[in-house]
Amino acid sequence: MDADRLQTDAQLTSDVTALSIEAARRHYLATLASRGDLAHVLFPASGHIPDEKTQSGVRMMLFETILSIEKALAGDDAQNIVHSRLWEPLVQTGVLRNADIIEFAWARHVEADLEDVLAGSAAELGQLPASLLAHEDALIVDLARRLLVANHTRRHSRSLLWQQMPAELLFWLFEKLSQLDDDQRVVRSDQLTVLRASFDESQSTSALARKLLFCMDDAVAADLRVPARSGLPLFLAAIEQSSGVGYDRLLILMGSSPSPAFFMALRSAGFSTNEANLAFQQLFPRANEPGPGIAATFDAIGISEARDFVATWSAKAEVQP
Amino acid sequence: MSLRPFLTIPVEGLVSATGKLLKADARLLQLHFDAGGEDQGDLAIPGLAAIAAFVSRSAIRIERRVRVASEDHDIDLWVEALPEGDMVRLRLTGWRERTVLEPEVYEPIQPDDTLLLSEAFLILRAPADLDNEGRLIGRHFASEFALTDGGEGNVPMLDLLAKRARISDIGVSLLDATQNFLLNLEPQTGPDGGFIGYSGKLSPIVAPLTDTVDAGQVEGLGFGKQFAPILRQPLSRIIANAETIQSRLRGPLREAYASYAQDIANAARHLAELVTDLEDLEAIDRADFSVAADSVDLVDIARRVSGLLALKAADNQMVIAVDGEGDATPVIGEFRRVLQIVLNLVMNAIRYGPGGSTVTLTTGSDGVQGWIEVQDVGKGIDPVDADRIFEKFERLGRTGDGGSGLGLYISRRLARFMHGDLVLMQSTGQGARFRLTLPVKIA
Repeated sequence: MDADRLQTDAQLTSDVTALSIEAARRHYLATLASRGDLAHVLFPASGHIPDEKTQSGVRMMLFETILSIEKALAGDDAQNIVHSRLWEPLVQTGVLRNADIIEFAWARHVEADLEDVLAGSAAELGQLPASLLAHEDALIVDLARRLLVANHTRRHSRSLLWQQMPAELLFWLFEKLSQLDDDQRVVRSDQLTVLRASFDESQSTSALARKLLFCMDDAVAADLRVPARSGLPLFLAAIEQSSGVGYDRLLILMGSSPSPAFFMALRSAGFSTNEANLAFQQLFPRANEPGPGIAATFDAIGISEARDFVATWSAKAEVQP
Repeated sequence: MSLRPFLTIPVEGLVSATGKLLKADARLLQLHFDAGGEDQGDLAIPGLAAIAAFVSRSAIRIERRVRVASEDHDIDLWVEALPEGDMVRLRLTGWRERTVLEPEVYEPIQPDDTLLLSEAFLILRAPADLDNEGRLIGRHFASEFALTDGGEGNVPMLDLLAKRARISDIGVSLLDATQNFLLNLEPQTGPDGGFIGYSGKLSPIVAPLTDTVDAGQVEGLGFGKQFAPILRQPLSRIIANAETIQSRLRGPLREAYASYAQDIANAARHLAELVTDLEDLEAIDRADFSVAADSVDLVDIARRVSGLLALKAADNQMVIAVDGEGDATPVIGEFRRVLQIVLNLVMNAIRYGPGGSTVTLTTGSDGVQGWIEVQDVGKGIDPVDADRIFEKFERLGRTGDGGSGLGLYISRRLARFMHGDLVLMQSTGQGARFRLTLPVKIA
């Protein structure tokens, strides 16, 4: 363990008062010990290695997700939650090495970065969802309103992070937490059951964006390729629908900075060079122009070929002869 | 801004904990019947059945978009699934109709014995010897074939269809029970890269299908049909349990015991590999064994193998490099068999190569034959053993490394079935260099 890594964890600790330096050091050792760990779990074939800042951010999101569950379990006593009782046993039992939960945390980390950028350009919520509030149909108005509220709430309250999880992941995680009740008595299964029953995946930002997209007219298709107009959730849901690449996986492919993977994800959804460049400028305003290699070859890459690339990058090692 | 035809009155249905459609509005019931479902029977619409099964197990409310097939077209639905006690209420809205894709979108032209299913699992093509009158065309797959019940209301085939997963050796039979088949289907993508259905084979089998094959009941079947499924199930359980212990998922464990658990998992995995090899061995020695003539890009194969085995290589501090990724190298062969051969070659290279080394995959073509080479930097193979290593159970004196001595034998046989070959080349440096050749696809 070198000094730089300890320093990173000390910084993390200053952001999360509940986590002691010692606990941070131990969780670092136990969960994400090597630099390429996240990438190897999620993208064994891509060489898409996250930098130290990203790894730190993902750890933070993992921690906040677990803490959000503890606060939800505590109900009215949430404000009194100072220490995470679940983090340590979850680290020790290896639960937090699960690829799906790391992917969830990684996506939330990237999402927060990208939305900060859009917020900086005064386009946080996008013009499209706001304009839909004046739609003639009450269902679309309701969905747009709920999407705007959910997105705003999610951005400003990390204590609701757990409500953004896909249902399958939440179910799996709660099963693991129930085992902690059996083994270590740090959480009560009956409380988990009650909390799980209150979970509604359809209220998550991504689910609302998908449903709104399902209901909307094709006339808005062009707006969906402009993140500052559509807002991040609808932008992602539209690419997901076109490319078949999942919402969270798309966020990770985009990363916190532009990469060939970002362009390949856009191409897999049928973006033209101009559309991709505009999205690039809006999401990464401080970055340099895309490399000439990418710009020159973007249109030449077939949509099907782009999807193959993306699928290969995100392939998990399903076949182990 | 006009509305899509979304705001129909919701159509509802009630599904039991065991997956039976207990009650449904007329439109949902019709979809269920079109998909081969029976009154009060298992919900036969794959996407909906999978959602209902999850909600029943988890008691979590979810909403998802699902595509289903009706008699003559596909329908996009928005599905709300709500837990109600131990049952699940499905509420469907949307009902956006889509045209069923025509078989012409599939590339390449399929041989006569291919089964094609649309995105919503309508039968687009059926093997001529099974359906020479074209009776099955346009029918829903589940309405013509009985699917095996996996117990507790679970129908594995429906789960696989819903997930658009590869379907390997799943048993089905015609509804009139006149014939049983093993089904192997690959998901297909259309020109725009989206999922458009399945393509694959229905292989007739002689014995009646059962959920778990009973060695005492089944006569006249060889190892593959008779013993492989029986062995594979407990082996999978051993591997899963040993890995659970090793990963300390259930709590702290002394290092030595975790290490023993890893040894158990490795030993069981080797046994499972041996079972697979023996099953393949029996299959390729059968008189009726055949391979499909798909269009396969060897560069794509190299890329996939590199991705699939990257972690395995990393475990041995090795790297897999793919040379010449730029140009496609299209050949004719059965996709999964070509993948199997190259996976086997690269696995061998990883198994016998030194830590820190690179396994290199190179592809090329001379216009008649396309080839892919796997080069390692291990000890290499003595030229006098160049043919012997392709013989059955030949290990060249090696023991204890998990190999069965069947991989190269099976790989060469498969290559020759596909009108190609697998040979050991004169190595250009240290290590072994294997070359798989296959006939080039004529444009």
